[in-house]
Amino acid sequence: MAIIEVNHVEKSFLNHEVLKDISFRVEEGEIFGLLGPSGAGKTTLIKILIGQLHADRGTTCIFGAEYKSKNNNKNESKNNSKNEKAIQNVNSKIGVVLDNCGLYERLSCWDNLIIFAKIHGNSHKEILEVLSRVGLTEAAGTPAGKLSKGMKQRLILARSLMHKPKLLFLDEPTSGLDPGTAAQIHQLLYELREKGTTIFLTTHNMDEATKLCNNVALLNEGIIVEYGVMLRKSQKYFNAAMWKLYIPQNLT
Amino acid sequence: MLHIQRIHAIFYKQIKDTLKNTQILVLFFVYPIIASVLTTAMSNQTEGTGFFVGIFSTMHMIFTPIVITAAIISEEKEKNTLRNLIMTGVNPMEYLISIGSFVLFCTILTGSVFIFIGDFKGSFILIFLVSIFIGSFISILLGMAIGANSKNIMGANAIAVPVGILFAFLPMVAAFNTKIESFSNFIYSQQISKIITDESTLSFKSLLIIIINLAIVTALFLFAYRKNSLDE
Repeated sequence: MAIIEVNHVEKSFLNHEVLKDISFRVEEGEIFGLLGPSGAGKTTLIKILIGQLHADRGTTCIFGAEYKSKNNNKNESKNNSKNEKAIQNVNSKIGVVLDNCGLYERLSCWDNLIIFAKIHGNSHKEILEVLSRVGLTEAAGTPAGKLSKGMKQRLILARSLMHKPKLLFLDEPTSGLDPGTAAQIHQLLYELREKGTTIFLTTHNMDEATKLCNNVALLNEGIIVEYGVMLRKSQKYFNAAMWKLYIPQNLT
Repeated sequence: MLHIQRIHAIFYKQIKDTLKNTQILVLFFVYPIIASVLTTAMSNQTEGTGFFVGIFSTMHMIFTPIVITAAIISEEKEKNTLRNLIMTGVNPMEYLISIGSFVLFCTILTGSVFIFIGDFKGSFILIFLVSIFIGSFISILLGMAIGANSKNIMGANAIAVPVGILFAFLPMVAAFNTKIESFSNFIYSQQISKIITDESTLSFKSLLIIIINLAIVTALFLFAYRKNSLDE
């Protein structure tokens, strides 16, 4: 069953076409990677998917709720109340980790989570569980403003997991993190997938995509240039130039 | 539909955040403290002590809510924390009700100090509390209109501080200038200042002016809210 369906989405900023006729599907329970260099349009697409931006043309469908483009909205505004409710319902099923997801920097990790726990009706035990899953139990009392970048990223991830989302959007979740922290986040994403969470992530790290993703779409200059199973895509590009490097054991 | 659970969560967040935000804490306490110090310093004089209570309580219920409400909303917009709340399903109206009721509660709580400083008695305590409620409510709506239209704290302060000064200081300036007074009589802060200085000025006319001011500020808030919403 497709959780996300994107059909012919287009988006421009000041006459600059950022996304051109984008279409793809994300199936339930998979990790889908949107790959591409910086400026390819990955964040714009993720913002359209979570409803922060409107597409100029085309439709996006999440859990069956259709996010229409600007033009469609103007024409059919009167018939949208049902769809609005469906979109509100979608928000309760998704978790989002974007680079612009702010934290209450004066408040501790615990307080940052308890606000959202109160909104979602979670217990203190569930907050402790989430903190433990992201490895922030010991930093629970530390103000968010004093956390390192990796810890902030994990706190944002913890917050997005509070309501046990069925679909998780991650925008470059390990960008700028050290390999150890990145590996911890990868492990957490594996665990989430095992529990049935569908994950949509953007990255420009091919290695990360190879490790994590079932399917990928390769975005370049606003166009999907490759789309399909990750393994086949990586073989297509890397079979031709495979090098083996042997390092002597006594090398110091 | 409004959810009490969400309103409570945001109210709780604001209590926690304000306790760690020195600038906002200072604003809540500054006018009661100044009035207390000046009134105590002049305690041996029979006249003039009520002047400070009138002036500073007006500033407290007009200036403080405008600046604090605008600062809270604009900070949430600047740091993208408001977006997270909206994305978890919090209705913008739930957010505004939480923030508004928090600022109203704190302004009345800290403003109650004036009851003791001014040695208010009997029914005048009730008149003072109703005045502080209405004055703060109108000012909070003004602060919300400014916050909704600002992208960051600096932008909000650039508007909220002059607007706050204009409305809060007008009654004081009007006391020394009849021309300004003839104009400021149509402003809610002037009417509230008069009522809390001398309860005999409470009349149908003063209530009507306050109601008209409330209607204008509500319309301004709705216009600002619809124009920019909270999360662009």
